[in-house]
Amino acid sequence: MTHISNYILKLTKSLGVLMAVLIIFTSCHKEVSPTHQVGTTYTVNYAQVFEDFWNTMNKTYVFWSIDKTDWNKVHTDFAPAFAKLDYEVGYYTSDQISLKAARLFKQIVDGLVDSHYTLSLITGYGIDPALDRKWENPAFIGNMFMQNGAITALYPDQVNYYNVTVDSLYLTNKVIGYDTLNSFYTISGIVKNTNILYFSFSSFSLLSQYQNGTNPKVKAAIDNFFTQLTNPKVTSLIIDVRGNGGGSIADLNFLLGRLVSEPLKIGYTRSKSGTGRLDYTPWADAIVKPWYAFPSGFSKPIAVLADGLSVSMSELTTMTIKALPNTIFVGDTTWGANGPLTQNTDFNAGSFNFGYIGSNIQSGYNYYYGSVYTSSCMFKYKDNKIYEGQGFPPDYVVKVTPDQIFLPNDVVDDPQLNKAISLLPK
Amino acid sequence: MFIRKRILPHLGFFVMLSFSIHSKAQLYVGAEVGGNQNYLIKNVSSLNATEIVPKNGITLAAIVQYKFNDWFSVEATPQFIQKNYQIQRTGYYTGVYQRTDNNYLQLPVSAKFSFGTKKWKGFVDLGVYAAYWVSSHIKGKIPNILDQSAYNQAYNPYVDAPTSPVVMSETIFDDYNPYTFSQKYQFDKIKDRRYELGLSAGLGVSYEATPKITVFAEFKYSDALTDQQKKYQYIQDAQYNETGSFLVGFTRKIHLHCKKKVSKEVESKKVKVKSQKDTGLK
Repeated sequence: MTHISNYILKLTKSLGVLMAVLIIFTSCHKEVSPTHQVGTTYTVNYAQVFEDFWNTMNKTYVFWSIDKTDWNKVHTDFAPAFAKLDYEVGYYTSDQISLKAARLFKQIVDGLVDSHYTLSLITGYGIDPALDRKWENPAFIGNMFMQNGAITALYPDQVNYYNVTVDSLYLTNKVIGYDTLNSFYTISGIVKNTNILYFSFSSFSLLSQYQNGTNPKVKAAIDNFFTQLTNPKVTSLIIDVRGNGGGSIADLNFLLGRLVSEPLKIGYTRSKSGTGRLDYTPWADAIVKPWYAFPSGFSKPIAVLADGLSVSMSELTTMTIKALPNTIFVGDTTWGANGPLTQNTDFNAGSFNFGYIGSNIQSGYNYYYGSVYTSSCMFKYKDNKIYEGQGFPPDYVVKVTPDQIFLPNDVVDDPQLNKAISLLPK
Repeated sequence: MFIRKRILPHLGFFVMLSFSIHSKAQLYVGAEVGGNQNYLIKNVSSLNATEIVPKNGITLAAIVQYKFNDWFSVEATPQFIQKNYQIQRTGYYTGVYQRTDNNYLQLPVSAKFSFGTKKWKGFVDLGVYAAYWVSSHIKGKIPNILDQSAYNQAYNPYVDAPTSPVVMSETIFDDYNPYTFSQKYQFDKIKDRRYELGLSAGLGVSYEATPKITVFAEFKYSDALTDQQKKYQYIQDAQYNETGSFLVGFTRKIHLHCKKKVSKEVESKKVKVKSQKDTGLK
């Protein structure tokens, strides 16, 4: 009898402990997440618009590991400022409030390292932090050329002003293609009195232009370049991406795949793997592959011309060429926007809308207070350096001024092209 | 706070109570091994087409058990334990995943309550643990934005011929080549919290195979109370490990009372001498 009662006592104790365990484990409620869906937060005031913007940047901006902006401090400093705007609505006109909001947004994004970054507001304001920073530099090529329109002669996409680029004056056996509908210009040819092949184009839409361009001369110009690449008389190559604002990644293999005979590692990319600022995927190898129809590559010396208005794919092209042996980069440090872009959901990072303010029932179109254009991935070059926000530096720095381009008696010159020609075998 | 204020004093009470009745105390040592499944508790609903999947790992532990009486003991089980999980994407992104294998050195200290017959006993244990995140290995597959297809003639949207058929992408790997990886994870000092504190509880059954050896099987659940990431940003998704292990092991009784043992030997000698006297041998 005593044995049974002892057993019951022990069993009761153990069951008591078991109950305690269950109580403890069920009572330890953990605060797991403040869920926030990109582009779905309905906002009715500036405080909410700011919170949505801040949260989405917090989660999906890809450069937090290298960006100097103190994003926590941004919240501390600017959440009250936007909340204040809501209280000021009755005291200022809507235009004044919109301007105040735009100025606050500008202060927030001014220091972001992503040089693709632009912020557009429904009120009509647009903020381009990288460009704004460059305007402050008197040596920025845009400052020197854009103000008097002279840059239009140097860059092929502005050829409509001059009918001909400076560089076209250097060439023989040239083919020029110009798609007026898409403002695409390309030129290929041989530098006069040499066997140097030259190729330039206004944006990285080569493949789409090649396949679907409206002007057959464009395809002819690109074909001329491809054909000359295999010409044994050609001694070297100049690829000119000055003033080229970038474009499609598909052109990487379409153009540069013709210069390599085996896959070429040019660096690494990584994107976001989670919602934390420092949640990153591993670095993935960035590869340029030989174009299947052009497997032999181009092993002769190559010079790439780029400058401060060479952006994005132009910079990747410059870096790719520099990753090849026997190559030089002449010109000026590039813009500094190297991160590839695609839709936000593919890589948990990239461009997004914020501050959802309603939909058009008939069209289904959603309206947002603002939208951000930003990179989906971070790019690290093969030397393990990240050039985002800095630009890729040339081997031969040749800075130019309008006076150097436009000489007396309507003579034009191109010191950067002259330098490249002087360095290449003729 | 609840745990510190309410639970720990009670645990302490049980321990003190048990120490006060230590006359039958025995030390046991042993080992246990088993498999586990770890759940990473994290809200990923804000990530597009993303889910977390629990993954299996192993647990290897040594056991040091101090048995105060027939029903109560305290044990420490220093162990190597894996806390693995996988984050994967669904729908159009199916095939994108990252498996993370985390290796921890963990020290649970538990109070163990037993009930049952002399041979067969059921038991429940409750304790706390501290763990150190020793290393981590990641492997997976992600889309590679700068690795465009150039060779694939069967599907290549970028072929020269303008008559190429347009093929709709079924998964993201129709648009991007995959990048597969398997590598050691490099800890981030800003982000990763290497230590982990938590609660553990177990439920099992033991069998006394010999007077010294007991074998057992147990289901043990450990629940981290510390976020696996440091609080490095304002508004942050926390993540916790929760691990269920099925373990089998044994304990062996170790004689603690050497003095008593010596006196037993002396006593047996005395008995022997007495019996020799009784039989008349000299």
